[in-house]
Amino acid sequence: MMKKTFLLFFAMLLISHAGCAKTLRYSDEEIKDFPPPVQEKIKNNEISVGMTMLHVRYSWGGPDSVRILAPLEDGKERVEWIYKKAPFFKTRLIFTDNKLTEIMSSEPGVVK
Amino acid sequence: MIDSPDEAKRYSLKLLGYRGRSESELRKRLDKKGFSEAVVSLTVAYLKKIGYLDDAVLAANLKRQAMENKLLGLEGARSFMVRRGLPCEIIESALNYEYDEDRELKNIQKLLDKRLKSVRNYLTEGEKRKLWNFLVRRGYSFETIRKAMKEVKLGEETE
Repeated sequence: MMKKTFLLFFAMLLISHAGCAKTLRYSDEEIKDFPPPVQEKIKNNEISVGMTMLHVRYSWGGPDSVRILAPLEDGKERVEWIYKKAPFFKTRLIFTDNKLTEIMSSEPGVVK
Repeated sequence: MIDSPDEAKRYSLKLLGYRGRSESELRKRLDKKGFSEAVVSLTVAYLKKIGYLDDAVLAANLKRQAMENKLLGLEGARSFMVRRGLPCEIIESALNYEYDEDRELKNIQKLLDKRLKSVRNYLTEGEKRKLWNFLVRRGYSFETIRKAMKEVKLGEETE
């Protein structure tokens, strides 16, 4: 029983760290024209409201799935990016006209 | 033929969400999906205007992927970018940097370290040739490969 529990815990730990390999998503040259606070966020793998899709991609990489939402009444485009981490955590980012406007996450620490 | 600009826009936004694409790649995908030429042009123009589609940004991104993640040589990076449908002038402008032989030698060393692990600590002539061809396929120049191979300590084959 102990062995099974340990194996299960180990498997979950592996899954939760899947995709955490440190492949650099940006070079200084690529982000040099971004505003300094955005550059700082990218370096810390963080996101915040106001970032563009390109900024978010440099910070977090591409999403696991993309949904196109109905445009707002004023015609602004809305796109939802969904990131899944392990089987339990899901983060949804809503972009309105290429600006991050909403962050919803079941992962602790993502929404500050 | 699909003649809905809104549908083309939505489809493009979905494609561009997953990964950055060049204008040429996006045009091909829209065309394959059955959008008319007029709608494709309209959509591409719109996406470029709002900054979703930018070949120069993609070129800088692919250059890093090629040289730092895939450890390709200069020629390898160029081919990689050509395959992604970037125009020649944008590729050349992205690759317009001083040729850094030290960096290429370091990259080759990383590749050799990986390869040498799997062939133990000696190389036969055939294995050396395979390594050479492998580095050529990665886009390194003969001169750089020659230098890198000289620095690699290769043991003799033992019977």
